[in-house]
Amino acid sequence: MSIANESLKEEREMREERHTGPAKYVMVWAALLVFTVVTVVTGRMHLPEWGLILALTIATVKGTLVALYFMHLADHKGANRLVFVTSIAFVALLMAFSLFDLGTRFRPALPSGSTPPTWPVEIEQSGRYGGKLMAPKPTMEQ
Amino acid sequence: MQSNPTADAVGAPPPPKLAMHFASLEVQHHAARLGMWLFLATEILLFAGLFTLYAGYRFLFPEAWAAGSRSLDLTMGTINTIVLITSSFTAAMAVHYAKEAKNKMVVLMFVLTLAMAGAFLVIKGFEYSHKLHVGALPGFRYHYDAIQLPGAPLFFTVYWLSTGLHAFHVIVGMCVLAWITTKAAKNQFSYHNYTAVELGSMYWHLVDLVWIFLFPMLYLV
Amino acid sequence: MSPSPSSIAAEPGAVPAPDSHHEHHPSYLIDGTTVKSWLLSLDHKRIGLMYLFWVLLFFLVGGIYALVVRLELLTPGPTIIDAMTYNRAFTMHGVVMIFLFMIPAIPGVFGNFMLPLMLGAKDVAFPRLNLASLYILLTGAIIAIWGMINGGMDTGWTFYTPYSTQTTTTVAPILFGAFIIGFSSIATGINFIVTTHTMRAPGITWFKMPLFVWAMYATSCIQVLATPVLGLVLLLVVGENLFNFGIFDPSRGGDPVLFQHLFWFYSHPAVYIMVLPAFGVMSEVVSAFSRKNIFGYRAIAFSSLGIAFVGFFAWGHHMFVSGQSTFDAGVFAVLTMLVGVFTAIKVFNWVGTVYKGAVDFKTPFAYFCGFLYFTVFGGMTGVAFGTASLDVPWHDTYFVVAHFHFIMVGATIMAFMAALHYWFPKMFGKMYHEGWGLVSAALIILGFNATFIPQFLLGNMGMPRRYYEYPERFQNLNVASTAGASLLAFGFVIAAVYLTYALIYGRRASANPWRSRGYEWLTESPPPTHNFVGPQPTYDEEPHFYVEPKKAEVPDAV
Repeated sequence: MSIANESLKEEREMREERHTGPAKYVMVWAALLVFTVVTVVTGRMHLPEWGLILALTIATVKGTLVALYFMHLADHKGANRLVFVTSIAFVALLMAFSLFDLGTRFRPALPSGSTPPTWPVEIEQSGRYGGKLMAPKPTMEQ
Repeated sequence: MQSNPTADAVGAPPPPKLAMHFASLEVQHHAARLGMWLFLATEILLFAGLFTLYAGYRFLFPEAWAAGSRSLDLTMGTINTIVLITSSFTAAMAVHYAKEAKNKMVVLMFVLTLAMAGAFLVIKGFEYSHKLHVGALPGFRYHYDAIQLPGAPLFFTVYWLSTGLHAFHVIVGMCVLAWITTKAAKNQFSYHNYTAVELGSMYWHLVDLVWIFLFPMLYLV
Repeated sequence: MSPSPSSIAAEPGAVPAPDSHHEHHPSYLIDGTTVKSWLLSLDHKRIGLMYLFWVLLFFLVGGIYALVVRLELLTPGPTIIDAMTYNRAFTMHGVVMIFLFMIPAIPGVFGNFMLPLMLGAKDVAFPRLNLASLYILLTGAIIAIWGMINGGMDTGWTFYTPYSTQTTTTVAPILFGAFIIGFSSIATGINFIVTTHTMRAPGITWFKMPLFVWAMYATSCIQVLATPVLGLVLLLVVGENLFNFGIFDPSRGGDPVLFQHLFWFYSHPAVYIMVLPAFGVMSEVVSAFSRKNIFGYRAIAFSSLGIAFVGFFAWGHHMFVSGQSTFDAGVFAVLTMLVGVFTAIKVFNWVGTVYKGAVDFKTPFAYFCGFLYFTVFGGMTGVAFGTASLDVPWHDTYFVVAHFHFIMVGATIMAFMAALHYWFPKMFGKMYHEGWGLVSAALIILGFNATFIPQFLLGNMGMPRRYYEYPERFQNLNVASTAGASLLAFGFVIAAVYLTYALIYGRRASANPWRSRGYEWLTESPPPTHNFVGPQPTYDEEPHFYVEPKKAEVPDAV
């Protein structure tokens, strides 16, 4: 009642998928090529503010197409989807906390020679270790 | 789990072998597919570490990143992207034909995939040799005169590490697909037995998926 | 509802006929006696036993390193080894114990052995992958041990850059060995997740799975999600050593704190890889020996997943003094507390299970008592550590050492020993001597306390960890700690002796000597090769179903 159903359901879904034929793959392929051209053209423009966001959005759309149709995630339900989504979520988690750290760290504690842009979040960075504790003047600056 | 040693006949593809501990073929197929997804999740997280390094150092060294990105050969990168996407398409078609028991088409599709994978590596090799030539090498050996910014060696370290790890996956994927191609050449796959084609193809799509993200990150922005 | 045809014949909860089939279905222990039939066996039970052998061997190696470290710290100055050897010894103690004992121990041995039995399956989903995971572990271990013999490593088990990229000791082979061991861990994790999804016998729904299975499932999720990141970061450090990329070198723009982020993204959840299986074992043991339904089944099941999930949000609490931003530190400090919430749910439920139970004070229950104490004590100090401001003065003192030995090692060792005793009759079909079991449990628990309570005090007094020498005033407590370690070792020696004796001369165990209601006891002891003889048992009742607390008559036990 438990497992048998889980496996059978998936098998049924895969069977239904069988009839859609290769036309779908061709469409996905064409869409991927179009998106590649779009991202190259917009990438060439060196858009200042949202160039990165646009490129990553296009990449995400392309990745979603590949995962959903080439990798059949649209047909695999349940656990398979959960696994994929969870892995992406944990990638985001790893990157988010690491970048939060770099962005909000006390600036002199960052690697030498680095020139990070100002972080959009307003944080107290007046003192030693990024808190309000005042540092001895000469030693902390390079 | 799917290895099928006897497949000399050219007639109808043999039915798949059910391992003793599975309740049915559906369960066996389901298990293999779920296992593959879990494995792909580990691959995604493997690359996540490199993506984190990329993002962190990009934040710290925006000028070096912009300069480094511009110095990469966008034409070659674009061609490689198209090649890899197309190879992914043929791999997906291979699954389609495997389900219809058209093993000759499976072979053809995988041979096309392998040929494009080879082309990808050759183009990558040209890029690498150019980098070697001008001295855009990781870390200590960096002596590329055109970009002398703080953090520039780090950009090329990340570039070499991520494309190198990706190229390694391309090679592994080629080995896997070549092995499945030999099985398809022996007329082994049918609607009841296409797990190996499906899983091999999924691995190849993952290689493609990683490149879809690496390409804009390294070459475009 | 599609019951398999074979399960219709069996009576509800019936134990398959014990001895009548024995001639036709020999137990897995004697079904094939050649060396090859063991080394290349795909049977999850044999693989589990091989894991047991190797894991115990690695435990011995790590234990010897521990005793060397404790002996060296007997006096303030140099005692038996020089400073460099001491650095290598504590590093090797950590590396061997964590990567070769704690992480594979309970999943590799008891997970492999019990998971299919508890799910009514004939084997794990991928038996060949299972066998491969053992040999991958051994390959990694051989490479790492080769590195230890040829130079060793002095970085501590955390391999922090930039020191690990600059030290002259042989970092690369040991880290590469650990990298390979990671594949073994991933393989086990994938196998268990797929087994849980697809191999459950008809009747075992998600909420009828034994709690050990839930714990193993949560553990496997962590293994799959976290281990690849460690693999990458280990490869990067190996690459740094061999090719000098400078990716974590601060003098060339690299950020060593980024290394720590990647490292602890694995290594903090790794703590739960070690301790969640322990929680699972204890959920089984506490119910079986309290003769009572588990209290709050769903709460325990979900809190396993909760710990696995929240465990990923807390890694920064290892880095409060690393130069990490105060903003990040604050966020991590708050999130760390969530782990305490889920652990407390479990502790509450265990205590609730014992409450008004008819406690059968056998050796596994003795270990449960020790476990509860170590978990609560270690967990409370963990909550104290989670507050960033308290962590700063305690950081890198013996307080940390004592804390993580309590929660991680204490809990896991207690569970490992409890599992070994609880499932010993099932695995080997023999009974051990109950009296000696209790004696050794008492010695181990006392020895553990005597080792680490002095270290709590030392740490609070400011003695830093990993130091070769220390001031005179710390000597008394260090002597006490070393004495405790000796007692601990003695307790393990006793356990080794009577368990080995029981293996050969022990009395035959019945199919279910503890009168436990766990699914794994529905087959014979030891189980036949494909786990079940004749019709497969049905699983109508809940896994921890004791109608009323009633003390079991246990004829087999002494």
